[in-house]
Amino acid sequence: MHLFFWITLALYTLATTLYVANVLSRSDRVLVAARWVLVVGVACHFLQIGDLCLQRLNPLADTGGMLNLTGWVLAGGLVLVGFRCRIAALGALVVPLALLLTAAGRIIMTTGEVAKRGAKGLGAIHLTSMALGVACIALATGVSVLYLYQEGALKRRRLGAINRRLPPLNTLEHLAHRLVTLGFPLFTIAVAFGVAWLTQLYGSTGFRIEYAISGAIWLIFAGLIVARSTMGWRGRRAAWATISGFLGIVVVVVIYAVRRAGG
Amino acid sequence: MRFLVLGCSFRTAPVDIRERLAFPRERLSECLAEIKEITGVREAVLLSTCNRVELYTLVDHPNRAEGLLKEYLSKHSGLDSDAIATSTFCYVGDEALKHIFRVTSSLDAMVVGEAQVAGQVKEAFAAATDADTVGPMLSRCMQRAFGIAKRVRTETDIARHPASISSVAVDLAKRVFDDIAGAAILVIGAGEMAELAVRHLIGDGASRIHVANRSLERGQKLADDLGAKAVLFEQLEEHLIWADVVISSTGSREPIISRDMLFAAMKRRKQRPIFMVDIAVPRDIDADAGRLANVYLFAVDDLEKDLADNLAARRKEAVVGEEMVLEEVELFLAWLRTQNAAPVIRQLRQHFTEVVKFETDRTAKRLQTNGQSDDKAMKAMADAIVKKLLHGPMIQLKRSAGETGGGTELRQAVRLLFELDEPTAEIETEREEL
Repeated sequence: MHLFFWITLALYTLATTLYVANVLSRSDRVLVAARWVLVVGVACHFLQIGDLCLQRLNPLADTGGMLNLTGWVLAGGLVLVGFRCRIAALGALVVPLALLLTAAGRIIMTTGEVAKRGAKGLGAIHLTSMALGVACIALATGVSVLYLYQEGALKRRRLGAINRRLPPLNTLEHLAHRLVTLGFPLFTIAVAFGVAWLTQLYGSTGFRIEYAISGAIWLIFAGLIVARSTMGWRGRRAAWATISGFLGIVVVVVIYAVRRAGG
Repeated sequence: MRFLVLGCSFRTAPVDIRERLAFPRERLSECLAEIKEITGVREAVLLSTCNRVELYTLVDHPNRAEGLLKEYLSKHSGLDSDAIATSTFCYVGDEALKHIFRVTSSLDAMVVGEAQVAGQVKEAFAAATDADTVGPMLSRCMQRAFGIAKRVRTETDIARHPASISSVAVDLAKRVFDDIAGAAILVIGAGEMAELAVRHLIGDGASRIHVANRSLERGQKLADDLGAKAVLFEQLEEHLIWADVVISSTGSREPIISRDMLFAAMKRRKQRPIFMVDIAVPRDIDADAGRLANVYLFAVDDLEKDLADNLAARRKEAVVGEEMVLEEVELFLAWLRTQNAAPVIRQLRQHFTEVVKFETDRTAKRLQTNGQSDDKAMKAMADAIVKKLLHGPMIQLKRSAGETGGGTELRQAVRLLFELDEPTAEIETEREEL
């Protein structure tokens, strides 16, 4: 587990460096190298998760496992998105995030007996759908950041070298919308199964701040999807809504991690 | 043999001289054949465009060839020798290579980085290939030039910056819409600049084009020219609902699209982005309209500023391109130097093959007629081959040993060629005894 983890971490770090170097140098060779390093990193990350299973440890034992899986889905998602459109700058935003999630996941991941028991049934569905949903929303956030950067440059009429390498606003906007549309149902399933799982485990847990934040996040994404089709909510508004929704998710994950660290 | 470039460009000759020096496309093959007939010209490519007329050649004696080629140009254009001398340039050797690489990479173009030049050089090379006036050297040089041009285009941002007002407008539109071909375009007014911008858009695949002009008749004429559809100017508010790209250039004294008009249209089009270019002076579109969400409005000043920035950026990128060219010239010269050894290598191989063939044939005959044993025949053949191959070198070694300097250099060369070790002490003693 350690070996694959460290190799994955090293490859993600190298891919991050190469993606950033590509943004700065605009060299196509560096971009190709970054993509290949990422592909190998994703494969290695898969082996790391598979290795956990072989050791009879549940890769989805807790929030740490979920973060680790999210990191993998995020990096893999970037590889898939890369097939459809060339957004080199997205790599410079998303790969560091995948690296961070993988590292954070490893730090707070449960080992020993708890990991062998792990989450099953409702918990497994909750954590899996959360990992997939969060990865989609994280990708959408990355795309939204690029959208805001590109849009701002166009409005200010100051297009730099990086702007010239970014896809058109339309492409970024559609991609972010698709990712939110894909991530939202997964996030909904995750929230619903999370509530059911916690109720099954502890009965009623009473009010917790993370429940309120999760509800607010759900409302933001639901509102975004509905408002886009009815009122044409798109562009900057949609980008900011996506970013704030993702930041809400980060806050919830941090609360869970802190709560877990505090026992 | 050396590379020689002779010609004129917009830098050295005015258009009236270039016109006379230009070669008509239909006569290119014939002219190339005439150039190849000139004494000392081994290979030739002829590039004739509106901005330059250049001869890329491989010649035996550059000085003599330059004079003869100038005579040819004088005869072809009807210009006297003084006019030819003042309006042409001539580069030889690495300078010639550098020039060919720079021209093909569009570093010597009027608008640095324009894509057209490499295509024109390719056409010139194809014409020369068809006329059978290019050989291995010039062919290799031209192929390298195309490789460098590609490298300059892909490894620098030289071609990423549009270099005219209309292309700047189209480039900006492409920053908003991924599919210009599918975008609905509305041209307001029938001005020349708007027409140019639309023609650029058409070049990028745009097909859904509508023209709205106060005079429907004039609008219809432009629409017919562009293969577009004329629509009523009075229904401008309605047109703003479906249009993705708006190019406006009317002669109106007042803005024809107000902020409120656009705000209402944006609401009805559910905030789908709209890209607007206002080329008119005074402006057709209220400047405040550009502040609305999802509206991307560019006035002529913005485009001009962009154009100036782009041209400066191209010049900056060209410096990187120049470095690449110098690098590639060095590489090509290194390759050329390796070609100097080629004839000797060929001769040596032929000589060795002939000796071996002669001896093997002789041995085969002996075996048939004399009935000599195989072992004996093989040994005799090997000895004979060694003797014959070493005969020449040994005579030269002995002869040079008797000359001033004792033939040290030749001995060292032989050791180097046959990878022989330095003589041992034993051999040295034997030599001294002799």
